[in-house]
Amino acid sequence: MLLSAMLRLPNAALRYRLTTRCVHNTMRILNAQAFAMPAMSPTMEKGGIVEWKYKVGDIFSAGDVLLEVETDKAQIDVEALDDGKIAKIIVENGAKDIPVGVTIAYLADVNDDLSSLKFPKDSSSIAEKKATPKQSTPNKGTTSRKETSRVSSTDSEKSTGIGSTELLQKANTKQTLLPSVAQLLASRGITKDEALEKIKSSGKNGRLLKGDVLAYFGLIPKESVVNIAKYIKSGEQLDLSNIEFKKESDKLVEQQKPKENAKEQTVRSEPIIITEQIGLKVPSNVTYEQLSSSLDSFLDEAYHFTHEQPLTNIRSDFYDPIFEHLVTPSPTEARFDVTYQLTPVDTELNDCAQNDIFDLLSASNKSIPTQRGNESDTETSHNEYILTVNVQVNEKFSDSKGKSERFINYLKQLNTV
Amino acid sequence: MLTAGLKRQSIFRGGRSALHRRGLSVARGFASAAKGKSGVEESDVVEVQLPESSFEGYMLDVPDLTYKTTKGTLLQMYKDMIIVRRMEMACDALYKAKKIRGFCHLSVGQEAIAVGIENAITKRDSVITSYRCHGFTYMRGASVQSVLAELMGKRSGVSYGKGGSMHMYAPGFYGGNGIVGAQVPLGTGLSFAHQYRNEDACSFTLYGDGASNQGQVFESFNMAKLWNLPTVFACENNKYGMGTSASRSSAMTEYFKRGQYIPGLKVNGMDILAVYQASRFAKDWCVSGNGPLVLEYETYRYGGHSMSDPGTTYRTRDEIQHMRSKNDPIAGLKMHLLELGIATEEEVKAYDKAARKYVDEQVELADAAPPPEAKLSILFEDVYVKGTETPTLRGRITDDTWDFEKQGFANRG
Repeated sequence: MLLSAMLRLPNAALRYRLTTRCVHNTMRILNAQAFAMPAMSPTMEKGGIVEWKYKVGDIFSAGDVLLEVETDKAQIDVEALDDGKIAKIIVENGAKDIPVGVTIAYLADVNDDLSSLKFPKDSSSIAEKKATPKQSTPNKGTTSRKETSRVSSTDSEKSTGIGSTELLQKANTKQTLLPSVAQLLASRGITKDEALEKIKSSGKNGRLLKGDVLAYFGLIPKESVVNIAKYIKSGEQLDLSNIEFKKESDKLVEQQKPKENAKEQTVRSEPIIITEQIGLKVPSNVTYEQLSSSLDSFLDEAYHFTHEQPLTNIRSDFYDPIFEHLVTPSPTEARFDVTYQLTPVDTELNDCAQNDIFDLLSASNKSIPTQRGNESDTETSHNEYILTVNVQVNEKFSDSKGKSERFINYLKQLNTV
Repeated sequence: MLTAGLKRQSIFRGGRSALHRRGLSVARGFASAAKGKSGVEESDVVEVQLPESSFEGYMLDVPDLTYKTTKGTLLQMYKDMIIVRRMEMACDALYKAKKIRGFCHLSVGQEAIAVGIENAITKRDSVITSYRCHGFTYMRGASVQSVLAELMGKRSGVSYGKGGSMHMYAPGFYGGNGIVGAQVPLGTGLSFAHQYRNEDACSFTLYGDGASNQGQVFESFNMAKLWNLPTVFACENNKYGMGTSASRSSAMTEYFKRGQYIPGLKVNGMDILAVYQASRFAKDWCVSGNGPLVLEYETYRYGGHSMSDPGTTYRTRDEIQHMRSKNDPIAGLKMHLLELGIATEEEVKAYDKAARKYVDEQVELADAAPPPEAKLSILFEDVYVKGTETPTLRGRITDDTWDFEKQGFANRG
């Protein structure tokens, strides 16, 4: 039974069994144990030795403070893991910047005889540790070279990718089709595998897009797919290569630019102004003041009248008051502005108490036949004025223009010349 | 002349090989046979007398303070404990040599619990514990080398180098769990599985004194009692949470009474003989249909909470040294071995040296083992049991979706 148990043991275990037998006979088989500079925190790279609490030959037990280590952050006690004895101290008190892992002492078992103790060949003495960084530098060099080569390769990929032939690549056969693509293919009776084989894709990582399928069926030109792909490709990375630093001389140009802009803006925002000249024939007994005040009230009336008048055809079959209410812009807003100038052709003025423009005009009309008899009288009894009306159309509303024109037409009734 | 127990000697547990289980079942055979049947030499059976202070009960009669066991069992427990301790010390050294990085919680001082429980239960029982799991992993059947390799991120590690200190698993061992207290509901679920399958097995659900204040612990208590599940809620009270003593963080530090409606038992966790007896009692209790049980192993950790905790800011060094010299579980069992005439001082020393040499060898082997290959398929290989994978495994974005058949990303060119 013992034999069978042994046979099942793995090799290492077998060796171990044999060694344990040896242990029984010869107690002193272990060499001195190298005690390396411990990393007391995950970030500790090196530390100093403040003080060894034990001398060579001193016996310590597990949990005792062996030494005090100084890191860049704190002083920490290093505890012994196990009972033992200090065999040799390599790095003495006060040493600083000892890298983690460097052997700082040798420990032995409590019962070991220091004189006959074997010290193992140190694999991590200070000298070797110091040498290792130098060895690692060429490695760093190679890695950085690798990086640069990788960068250049991606650069070349990028440059080839911009070529239009490269934009359409073979479709990735492992993709899940977009719903739009799947539906399009189904309606044309093409299987997924067939489509992925035949149709070139312009999407990322060989993804088939709807445009690719449409182009394949000839429903849209191929160039538009390429153009879109190109456009998307160009937007994938922010191209800062054409950006230049601001120069001193540019400042002057920039100062002038805003003015130009302002001019442009004024030109652009120049309102539509409809100008109409109306000739007025007024009896001579009507003064300029009377005429202008009556004109004033007439224009005001016309202004309000045109604003109130709806433009839409009420009798239309398509007329719906609620819809109209929703669609027509705010009725209280002014659709146009009116300014006018009344310039007399003849400066002769007469006093008259009449204010109403129609009365004045009709009076003049009436007076014409009565005064036709003595024409010389009528010739002199009429003063002629020119009324210049400027209507500034409010462009915010779609019906402004129509209302302005209606206003002008209304005013044209005054024309008596 | 070596004793019979020594002849069966396998200081280390044979890793994943069948041998170690065999060895144990032999020991178990002795234990059961000791109750009068033939096949065991009278000289192999020893009677253990526990001190009065070993147990304290809550709503139950404490287990017998005297019990019979075999010399082989005691010797095996000693060997297990020294291997676990050596392994943890190797972890400490490797961490300080920067070969182990990240999280690392050591159980130096608490070995009696992992070893005592494992020797008291069978392979059919399940164990689940917190992040302080190296000892349990080894005791449940993982080799020292695979545990150390796991810690160093090697491919030969028990979780293939992907789990690290807190995520180790073995047959019947449902792992170290990184989330404080999260293993308790899982362990309750394990015991539900035992009950559902009508097995004569229980689940040992371990948690620390810090985790015992977690709400999910009490939820688990309720459900376990409600359904009469065979759960052993085992609180490893090492007296300090992460930087705080138990009395500063818990309103009631009698953790074995925390079950309220669940009977409890406080055990001296620094005495492996008490742990062994209590664990056997707990298993019996659960398997015989008494429902759950709350155990409190009162123990002590010599080190800090984790490698980044010096462990001396919230307690004195004298206190630690006092526990080390007076209450050490290994030294305690050594005394018993000598008293009962199971081993001589010389032999015990030989075991110690052998354990040290063995662990040192395993450290070298683990250190020399290769790291995982730098290929992406390794990331996805253990998500499903081989052969039961879904066609694809969804990632964060569609480009991360993994195709198991293709052994590559599904949507990448």
